[in-house]
Order: sequence, then C-alpha cells, then structure tokens
Amino acid sequence: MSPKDLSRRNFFVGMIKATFASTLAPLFALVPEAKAVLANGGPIGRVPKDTRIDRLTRAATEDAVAVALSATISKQLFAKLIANYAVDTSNSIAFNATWVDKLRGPTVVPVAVLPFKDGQGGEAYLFYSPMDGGTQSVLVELKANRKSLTEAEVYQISNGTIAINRVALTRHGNPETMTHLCNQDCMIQCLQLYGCSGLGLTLCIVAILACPFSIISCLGAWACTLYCGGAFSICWTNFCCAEH
Amino acid sequence: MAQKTWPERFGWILYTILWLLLFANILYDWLNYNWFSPLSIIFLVILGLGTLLSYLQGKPIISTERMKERFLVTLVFILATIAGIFGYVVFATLN
Repeated sequence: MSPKDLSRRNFFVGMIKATFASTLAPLFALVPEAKAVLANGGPIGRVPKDTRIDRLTRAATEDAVAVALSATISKQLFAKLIANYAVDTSNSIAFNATWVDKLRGPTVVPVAVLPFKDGQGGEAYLFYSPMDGGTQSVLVELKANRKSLTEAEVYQISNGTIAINRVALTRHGNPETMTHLCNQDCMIQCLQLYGCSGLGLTLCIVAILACPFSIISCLGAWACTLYCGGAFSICWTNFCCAEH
Repeated sequence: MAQKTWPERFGWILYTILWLLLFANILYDWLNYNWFSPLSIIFLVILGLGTLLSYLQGKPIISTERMKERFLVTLVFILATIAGIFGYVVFATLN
C-alpha cells in the first residue's frame, strides 16, 4: 500500500462516513427499548392509556385461571420453558380491560395473570388473553438483579413456535433507593442488554489490537466506542442513575 | 507472492480472530436470546464492506505501513469519543 492510499484525509473521510453509517435509523429497531415495545405488541401491550380495568370476581377469576392453565398454547410454554416453576393460583388475578377502539368501537379484553415461582426466588408471570381470532399467551420471566433493573425474558407463542425476547421492561422508580441502584452491577446488567459485555466487549478489544494492521479494524474499534459509549450513556442517564 | 513478515502474519492472525469472534458473538446472541446485537451488525457491515472494497480495489487488507500513525489517530478518535460521551453523562447527571 502506498502512503497516498492511507493519507490522513482519506482516514478522516472514512471516519466521517462511518459516523453516518453507524447511526442509520433502521438500527434503532434493534435496540432493547424498541424490542421491549415490539415484544409487548400483542393486545395487552397495545392497550391505550385510558383503558378501564375491572377486576373480576373470585369465582370468575378461578374460571379464567383454569381456562388459561388448560389452554394448549399455555401448556406449550410451561412444558418447554419453565418446568421448574410452580403456579401460584392463590395470587392470580383476572380483569377485563375496556377501551374505545377507533375502528371497532368499545373493546373488552379479558386478561388472566398467573404468577409462577421456582423456590429459589425466580419469578415469572403468564398473561393469558382469549380474544376472538387472536388468543394470546405471553410469559414474562424476571431475571436476576431485578431490584436494580427490570430485565426480563418474554416468551411469545405463535403457530406453535416460541419466540424469546430479552427486554428491559421498566425503569426502577424509587428515588430513595437511587444511590443504592447507581452502582456497578446495574451498569453491567444494563450494558449486557445492549450486547456490550462478554463476547461483544472482547470483539471491541481485539479490533483495537488489530487496528495497527488494518484500517478496517480501526473503523470497527471506533464504531464500537460510539455504540457502547452510547449504551453506557443511556444506561447511566435513563436506567441506573436516573432521577425520577 | 512475497514472503509475509512476522508482523503481517500476526496481523492476519488478529484479523482472523476478529472475524471468528464476530461470528461467535452473532451465534451466541441468536441461540441464547433470539436476537442480533446491533454491535455485531455494525461490525459485520464495517468488516464485510471494508474487506470487500479492499479486495475489489486490490489493496492489501493487512498492512504494516504507517502502523503507528494509524493506531495513534484511531486512539485520538476513541479518546475524543469517550471524552464527549463522558461529558454528556456528567452534564445530564448534573442537570
């Protein structure tokens, strides 16, 4: 390679081009927040803010729970994914969610929520919603360190296939515990959601090491700094050390 | 073909490890989370296009010329990016 091919000008132009390439809009669809919305995009997730929630009576709740437990799609989720969990029927709830749909008018969606426990502090919740032509069964398994960040795995079943989505469901919202939450564990957990840990981080380090030998690696290392730095910024300001 | 020097061989080893790690990362994310990390996609685009362009233009993918300058300029960019992000985080936290 001649010195002309690797001029400083070419290098800077490449860097500027890479900046635009790394911030292309479609990539936003892949970040955890967007995935969280997509993962909860069923009838339950699309419920408008002005929805009215009417808890069902004890007898009606028991019926709804029995229907949810006996549904084929729910059984498929239990059998494959949470064999160690036991359902806690005494704390199950059922409600009717009512809202006015612009196209369909008043809409009522019955929802049964069943908590599961595994005896080791593990928690999971099944949301079952029998709707006309679109019965939904969504299982949300809360992961470790849920006090500092609500990390969860959402299991959705469609045509017999189970899709797993790793999501950050909510921000923690207790200002009194903010100092406690703004710690290393929370940041590590949050960065994991963006893929900036383990193998991802090793990839970045190797890219830096390979940089003297290849300009492609240099671009990769810099893009990695931008992406994981952005993830760090989001984790710090929006999740772990956010004021609410 | 000219005999490769040991720095060039070392560069090729690192470059190969980089590709292997990228595929391992993609596989790990897909098998465990049914998800493609944006970081993997960014790397795939940069490494894929970069390698392809170098090949089409007949330029060497691994070069030991001006190693020091290349590394230092990248380091400056990386440090500037870190400083910018850190500045933003501090600003956002204080406000």
